[in-house]
Formats: sequence, structure tokens, C-alpha cells
Amino acid sequence: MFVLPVLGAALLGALGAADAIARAAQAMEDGDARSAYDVLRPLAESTRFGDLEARDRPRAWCLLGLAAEAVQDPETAAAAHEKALEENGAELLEAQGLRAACLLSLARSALDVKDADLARRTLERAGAEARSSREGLRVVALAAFFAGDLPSAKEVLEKWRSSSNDSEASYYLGVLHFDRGDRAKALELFDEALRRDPSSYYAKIYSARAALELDRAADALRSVDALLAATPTAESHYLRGKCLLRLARWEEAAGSFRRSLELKPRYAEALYSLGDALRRLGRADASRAALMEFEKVHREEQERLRKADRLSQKLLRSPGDAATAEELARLDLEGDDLDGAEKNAWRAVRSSPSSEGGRLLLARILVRAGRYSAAALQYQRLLAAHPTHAEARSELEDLIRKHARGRK
Amino acid sequence: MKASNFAAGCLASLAALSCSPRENSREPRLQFEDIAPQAGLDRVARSGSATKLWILENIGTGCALFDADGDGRLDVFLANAGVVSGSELLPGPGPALYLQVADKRFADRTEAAGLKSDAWQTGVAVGDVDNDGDLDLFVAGYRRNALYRNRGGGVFDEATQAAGLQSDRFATSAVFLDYDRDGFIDLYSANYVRFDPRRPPNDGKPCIQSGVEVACGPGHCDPEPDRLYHNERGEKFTDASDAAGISSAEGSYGLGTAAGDIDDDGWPDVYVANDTTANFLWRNLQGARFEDVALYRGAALSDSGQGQAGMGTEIADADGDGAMDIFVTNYSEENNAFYRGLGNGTFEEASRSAGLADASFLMLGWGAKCIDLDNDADLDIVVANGHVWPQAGQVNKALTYEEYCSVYLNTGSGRFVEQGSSMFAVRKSYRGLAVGDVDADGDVDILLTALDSPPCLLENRGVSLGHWISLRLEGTKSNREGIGARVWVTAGGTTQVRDVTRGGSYLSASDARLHFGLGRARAADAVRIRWPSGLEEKLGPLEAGRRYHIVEGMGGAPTPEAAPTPGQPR
Repeated sequence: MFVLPVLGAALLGALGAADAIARAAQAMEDGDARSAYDVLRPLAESTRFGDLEARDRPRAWCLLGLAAEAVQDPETAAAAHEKALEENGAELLEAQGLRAACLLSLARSALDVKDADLARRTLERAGAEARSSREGLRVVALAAFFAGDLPSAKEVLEKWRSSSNDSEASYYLGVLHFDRGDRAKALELFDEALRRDPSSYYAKIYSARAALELDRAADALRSVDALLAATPTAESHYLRGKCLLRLARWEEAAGSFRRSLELKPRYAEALYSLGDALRRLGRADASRAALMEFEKVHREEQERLRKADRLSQKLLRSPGDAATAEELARLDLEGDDLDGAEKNAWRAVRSSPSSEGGRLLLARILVRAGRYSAAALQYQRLLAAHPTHAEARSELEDLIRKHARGRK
Repeated sequence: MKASNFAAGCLASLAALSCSPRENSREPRLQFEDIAPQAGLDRVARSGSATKLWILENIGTGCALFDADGDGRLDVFLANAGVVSGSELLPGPGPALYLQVADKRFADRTEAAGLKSDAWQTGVAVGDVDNDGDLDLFVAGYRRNALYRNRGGGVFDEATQAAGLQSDRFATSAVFLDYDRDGFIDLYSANYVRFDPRRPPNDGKPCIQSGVEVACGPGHCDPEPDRLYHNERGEKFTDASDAAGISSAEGSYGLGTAAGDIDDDGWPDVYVANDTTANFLWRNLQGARFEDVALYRGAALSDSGQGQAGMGTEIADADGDGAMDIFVTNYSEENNAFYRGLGNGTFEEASRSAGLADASFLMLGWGAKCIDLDNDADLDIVVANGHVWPQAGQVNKALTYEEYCSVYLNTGSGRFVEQGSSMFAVRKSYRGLAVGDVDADGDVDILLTALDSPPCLLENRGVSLGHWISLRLEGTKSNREGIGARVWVTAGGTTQVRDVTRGGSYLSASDARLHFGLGRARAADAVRIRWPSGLEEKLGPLEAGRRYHIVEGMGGAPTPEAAPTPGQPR
């Protein structure tokens, strides 16, 4: 946990706001970010930070950013930190010992709103010391990874991996090697990630995939079986089927693909592989039926990807085009690409914070991703701006009913 | 060059891994020398601008190895595209026909041969369309195909309109096959995208990848459907696409084509490598119609059911189990696909177990042929590589625009081992690839095209691991070159099977002679031929180290051919 420098006499120039901020700062010191956030956010929204002395405003914004990050409101956190760092804010924060914390928090929040480029730009402003701390290395590595600068990501991931015992470092380095086609190195790294954190679902999935692609189907099957016992997802059933296919256990493979499809009926890869397994079993009609279904899903998927590619290009030319970002997010969601959908929905929301459609879509994506608190926040924010928004209200109520049972 | 010439070979400037003789190593030693410059093959294949920001510019051009003038020597045809100025497509240096006038010496006879053209050309197909004993030329192109009829002696007349082969599509690879076995070769022409330089895709702007401007991929354009042309007894062609069911295909981006009998039913089938979409396997329904069975037979997609960026393709029994396999070259960060034939006309994607996956992962493959490079009685694979974007290295530092070609040697057990990547000449953005024994010395040589570059003619100077025979078929009831004939050769207890074709690879046409490495066997004990007419003939034994001419219906009596003499028509 970070330690916030004591806020002192500098805030006394604006008594009302200053008092509130002092209370918030104390709450942060006490580890109660929620109280700090609840005090600071309304104050910021009602422009009361304007009551502060100019030299004290960056600190106030930074404090809000830190509190918002801690309560998982990355949108507010990013916006607050950007305000804090405006004009000579960085210098003032430096003098107050807050600059590095503010920059790192902004970079993390930027990653949370899927804006890797903002994260990278922010980190460039952080000092070498901040960047080379364990947390700094983590954020720098992830920012480079998600921005697609893989050579830089590799370099920093290696530093991070060797200077810590963080599972994530091994995992992301493994993904990087996997995507470059070096399955052997990738497998080594996924296994290391699992030694560091045996519960990592994605490291397990990737470890099995790498073993399978190294023609070590029996090893992969053992990993997948262990995974399935803990996390029976459509992906893990599918992967089990692929291992069994490789081991020429066609009947069992078909069973695994069917189970995968029970959980995710439009899972194109599972439909295709089911058709393959049934063909190997000599069940031509059943194979054809599965493949016809696959063909339908696959065709729609191809069309979706073509549209998405065209929209992505449009967005690259006009990064602030909220409508295109929203349309792209919708297409990503249709294709179950939750990462892509969230990234584009955030882009729509950040380009046009008052956009009803973008925020509703973001909330729905977060629900699909199982991130209910974050989704609830988006519904609340939408309802705050549009109190009569029926869909948002109904979906939020539904969310609370299903996932907040037993809570106050 | 053979093992006996080993010492001299070491003195030559070879693009080779090693000069160690085979005897000193467990690994075969392949050696190739690019003899194009000294052979006089210097035509630069122009393909648009340096930045190549249109899809049209990165498709490239093909080549052909064929005996244009009937003197028994292989000659070279190089297609050519053009240059781009603003939104204008302008002619480049044009195509080139090089006749082999002396041993490994070529002379440019393009103009005299009547092959000058200002078209934006792409692919080349070669075949005797009128069964008159000389080889005709089909050159595919952007909005302009051309059929050149060979008058004899390597002089051609353009006969596109009269033959009914004019087209305003963006044609790529084409292959001749006699799909209805009527004795005349028909033509399958793959088409790519609808592209208009006056209205380029993405609102006329290049696409952006990792912050770099590059050409937009095919998904930004509508697909252009393929065509099948039926040969009306050598007089003309009619578009049979609708009648034969080819038009029923979902829109796809066709790039590579190959013909071969994939289910051993005696009827030639067609495989098409499609860019980003499912590949086609057109099963021939006894000459009347085709149906696309690629998906249902396991030869359409990647192992996980993803469409890959298919470029070139080859049908051959690469693993030597008697069933035809299909090899497809794909985009960078996708491995090349190896669809192993399971013997009943179905396939499994076996690139990984065949050792062909990881080795090709970062490369972007185009032309490919399965040939026995070292005469050890199994088929090896050669692949022409090169990225589509000159900016590839900026987009992803693991990639390069200019790449080495790849060679995968068959271990004899259905697995392949990649050889040193620098073996094949220099890095270029290669595209077309055709094969044939250019110097008639008993091993197969390789012709390559590359963007904005003269061709490479790679003379095979490796240490031969065995004996060989070469078979040239001549149909009498079947089409003149015996295109589509299936030949089984048994030597030393091993049987190899090949189909006669000039197609496969990418945009290119190879020699139709069948070259069989025999390993240690000094003779082919038995040769069985199934002609397109249905006639089956058995021959043999045939002494190794010779080229044979086999005429359909002559009762199995092949004629050994002498080494050809340049300039002397047979």
C-alpha cells in the first residue's frame, strides 16, 4: 500500500474544500479509499476544487485519482490524474512528493480503461526510479505489451520476471513467445507462471495449448483435466477435445466438444472440431450437420471480422470518433471478444462521456465479463446523467438481484 | 553438379550451407547457385510503387519453365506487372520469353515470339490447348487475360478474343486440366478481389498497422469469383463456371490453384488456396460438375477451423503413403498448412506432426512445389517467401519484407526438416516458383520470381543421393501432354505416385516431365500409367539416369531421349 504524504497547511487557503480534502486525505492514510472517494468526487464534480489555491489543486486531483483507482473507478482516476498533471501540476506534485505515485496511478488507470498509449505516454514522464521499481516495471511492461510494442515489452517483462516472483511477468512473457511461434519457451514460462501462482486460469489454458502444439498431447491432457476440475469452461472442454483428437480418442473428443458447445453454442472452433471428430468416427451425416452449423457461424464471424477491420481502420484515422468506437465495440461483443469490446467501449465513453449508448454498452460488456461492481458503476453513472433511462435501470436492478444478494 | 564434381563446386560462389560431401555427414547437403545473371535472365519484374500501398501491387508475378520452341530444352517465361503513378497503372518493362540457346544460356526473344504486352500480368499457365504438339501460354492479369497460341518454334499469336478467354477480373493463378477427359485441356482461373485504382478501398487511404501505413488486405474489397473454362476441341473456350457449379461458391479471394486426383477416382480435382477465407477443394463429379468438399473433407481451414491467408498450393503425395496430400502456403504468423491425405479422399491438418508448422510461422509463403531435390526417392518441399508490405519490419520487428526461401527435406517418414534458410540465394520478396531440370543433368532446378527484381534460377548443385528417371508423356487419345495422367513408379521396393501437371505453386507453371528420384535403385522396376483416357499401361524395368518419352497406347515401349540440343526441334 502506498503512503500518502501528509497534507498540511497548504490547503488552508480554501477552508470548505480544504477541510473536505483533509478529511479525505486522512481517510486515505487510514486505508479507507471509499470514504475519500465519496468526499472528493462530489466536490470535484461541483467544481469546488476551484476554491482551492492554484498550487493545491493538483494535489486534490491526484488524491481523487488515487482514491478512484483504489475503488476501481478507473475512468474518474484517469481523468483526475490528467487534471492533476495539467500545466505545472507535475512540478507542484514533485515538490509535494506525489508526482511518481500520481503518474503510476494514471498509467495503471489508463491500462484499466484499455488505453495503452496513454499509459505509455504517462510512463515516459515518470522518472527512471519509478519506472524501474517492481510496480513500475509491471506497468511499463504491460503498457508496452498492450500497445503492441513487443520488443520493448519483452525487454521489460524479462527485467520484471527476474526481479520479482510475479506470476504475471512469466505469463505475459510466455504469451509473447507463444505468439511468436516459440511454443517450447512459452511452455516453460507458463509452467513458471503456474509455479508462482497455481490458480492462474489463463496460464493453465496457455500451458495446455503450448504442450498440445508441441505434440505433447498427453501432457496437455493432464493439464486440461486439472483445469477442468477447477474451472469447467467452454474453452477448457474444447481444449480437452483437441488433446483427445490428437490422441485419436475420437469418441471422447466428440463428447468434450459437445460439452463445450453446451456452454457456448456458437463456439465456431468447437463446432468445427466436433465435425472433425465425427468424421473420424465415420459418422458422415452427423459430421456434416456439425460442419454445416460451423459454416453458418463461421460465415457470420468472417463478415463480422471484415466489418470490424474496416471500422478499426476508420477509428485509427479518427481516434476520437465515439460513434465508430461504439459500433466497433458492439461488433466485438457479438463475436465474444470481450477484451476488444471493452477497449472500444471505453474509447467511446472517454471520447464522449455523456454518450448513453456507449456507457450502456460498456456496462453490458462488464456484466458479460463477470465484473459486476464495475458494471454497476457504469449503470449508476448513466442513470445519474439520464435518470429515466429505463434499460439502464432495469439492467442494474437485475444485476443487483442476481449478484448482490445478501448484501446491503 | 554431381558428387564427383564436388571439389570444383566448393570453389564456386555458392549460396549453400556446406561443401561437405554426403558421406561425411548424416545430413544431405543441398547446394544451389543462382545462375540467372550469367544465364542472361535479367528482366526486372515490376510490381507497382516502392511503398506498395495497394493490394494490386503486392500480388507479384509468376513464371514458367517450358519448352517454348520445341528443342527439348526448358525455356523461361516471366510475367510482368507495371508501375503505379498516382491512380494510374502504367506499363513496366513487360514480360519476357527467354529461349535457352545454349547450355544454361538464355536469349531474350520476347518480341520475335510475339509476347510483348503492356498488360498488368500476374499468373502463367502452360499447356497444349489444341494438341498440335507445341505449348501454348495463358497469362492471367488484372482486367486482362491473354491466350498465346504457339505457331511452332516458339512464335506465338495472341488469340484471347477468339478463344473466348477475355476477362475484366483480377485473375491470379490458373491451371490447365482435362476435367471432362475429352482429350482437350480446360482451364481453371482463380480470381482475387474487385479493385479499382480510381476508387481504392478504405476511402482511398492506406490501412494502418501498428502506426504504419500499409496496403489494406483483401477484406477491404469484394471477392472476385473464379472461372472454369471448357476447351471446345482446341478451337475456343466456353465459360463453364455456372454449369459446372463453380459459380456456386461463396465469395473468396483466390490466389493459388492446383489440379490433381485427390480421391484416386480417375477424375482430376481442383484445389484453390484462398486468401483469408476457406480454401476450395473442387471434387470432380465425373466431368460434369464440381462440388466444394474442402470443409467436409478436412482441407479448408486451419487445425482450429480458422481461415488462413492461403497463397500458393501443391497437390502431391508428399509423405509417400500413396494418398495425395495438399500443401498450402500462408501468411506470416500463420504456419503453412499440410493437409495429409488419409486415403479416402479426406484429410487431416498435419503441419505440426509433419514438422512444417513452427518453421514457417514467421514467413509469408507463396510459390511451393514438392520435388525430390536430392533423388533419395521422396518428395521435399520448396517454398518462395516474402512479405506483402515493404513496411513489414516497422509493423513487427520479427518480420522482414525480403525473406529467404525455405526448403524442407523429407526424412522419409512423412516428416520434414527445414534446411538452413540462407541456402536459397538472397533475401527478396519472392512470389512465383517453377521447377524443372533446366540443364538436363538429372536433378531438378528452381526458377523464382521476386517483386521489383530479376528472377533467380537456382541450379541444383547438391550431392545427389540416388539415381533418377524422368518421364515425358504424350497422349494420343488423351490430351497431348497427358495432363492428369497418374504414374506409379516402383523401385527398390518403394512405390511413388505422381500426377502429370504443370500447375500448383503460385502464379507459375512448371515442367510437365515427371522426375522420380530412385535412391539406391539402379532401375525403376515397374511403371504403371493411368492415362486420362482411362487406358492403363505397364512398363519397365527402366534403367535409371535416363529421360524417357512415353506415348499413350504404344504397348509400354518408352523411348529413351538423348540430352537435348538447343535450337534443334524434336
